Amino acid sequence: MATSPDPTDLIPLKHATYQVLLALADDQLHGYAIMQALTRMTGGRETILPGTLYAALARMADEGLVEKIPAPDTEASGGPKRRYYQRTPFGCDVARAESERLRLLLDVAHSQNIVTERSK
Amino acid sequence: MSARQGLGTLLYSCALRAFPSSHRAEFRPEMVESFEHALAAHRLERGRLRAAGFAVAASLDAVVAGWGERRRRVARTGHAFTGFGRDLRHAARALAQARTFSAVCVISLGLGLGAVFAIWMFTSSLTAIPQGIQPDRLVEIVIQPQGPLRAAGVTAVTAARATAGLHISPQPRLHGQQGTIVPCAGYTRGCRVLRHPRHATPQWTRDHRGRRRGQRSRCRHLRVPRTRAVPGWDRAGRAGARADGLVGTPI
Repeated sequence: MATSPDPTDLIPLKHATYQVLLALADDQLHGYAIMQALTRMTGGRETILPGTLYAALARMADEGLVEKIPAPDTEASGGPKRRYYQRTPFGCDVARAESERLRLLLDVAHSQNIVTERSK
Repeated sequence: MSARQGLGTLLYSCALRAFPSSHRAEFRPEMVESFEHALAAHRLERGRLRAAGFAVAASLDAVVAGWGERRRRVARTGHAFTGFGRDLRHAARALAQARTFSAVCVISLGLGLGAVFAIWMFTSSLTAIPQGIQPDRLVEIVIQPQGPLRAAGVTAVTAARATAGLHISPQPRLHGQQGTIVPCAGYTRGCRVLRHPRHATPQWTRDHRGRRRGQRSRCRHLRVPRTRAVPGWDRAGRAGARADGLVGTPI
């Protein structure tokens, strides 16, 4: 019987991996939509380029963080057939573990008055 | 599609060559489409100059990410010669299809290698050191007949050889009033003192560089570096006569 993977095995995540996990949220998005979602949710301060994005998606699919799903019937981009991605439950656990790790570091930064309430 | 956007797409498509072929086969259309959408958005929002900068940055990012993806796949599969093995199989198939060309290649290579090897063997046979000769221990010995040998009219030794591993060239390199110089080599291990023949006085020895290793000596022992032999001498100096070590032939 195969044991379920431990989310902390993948911690710390690569920056692009964490970005994609956050951008996917609970949606099913294709590659360019992930780029747009990341830019939108960070107000344009965080971006990801296509090369990094698709390399990260291939790696995350191998690691079980995301899964490919068929394109919805309403998809009509006029371009090549797109692949859609969504987070897996394991991907959610990994994103949660990485967020906890970053929050611990952020708490340390708060205790040293490095981070102000406004930037928080 | 404008010319500038086409140039950016072309640059990005070239950069995608950094990705493994399997990755390109799966993601390339989507990657190019995403790039073109993002490039168009940059042109509309930030102008052409920023869009050109984005195209360059995205291309560099694709190169870096592509090489990272290659390394990851190599680490996952455990070997780095997947492409190399595929090339070898392709070469084997191509040679099998062009049999005449393959035969010409094999024959040409065989003849070339054989000729080179034959030349090397011939030159090696000319320049090789004979078995048993140790070049770093070559010395020359000057032997001057004395006593009855000289009284019998013997002035020099033309050839000598010794047992127990002491090899002396049968052809003297120099003979005259001072004696005969014969190169010898191959001393047995542990031999350190060369005793002169009973009726022949060793004058000196020379090493392989021509330096004298022993001065004229009347003593019964001539020290030769790292050598020892106990050559004898035929009292009559007859050709081919063997004493207890050294055999010489008078002129």
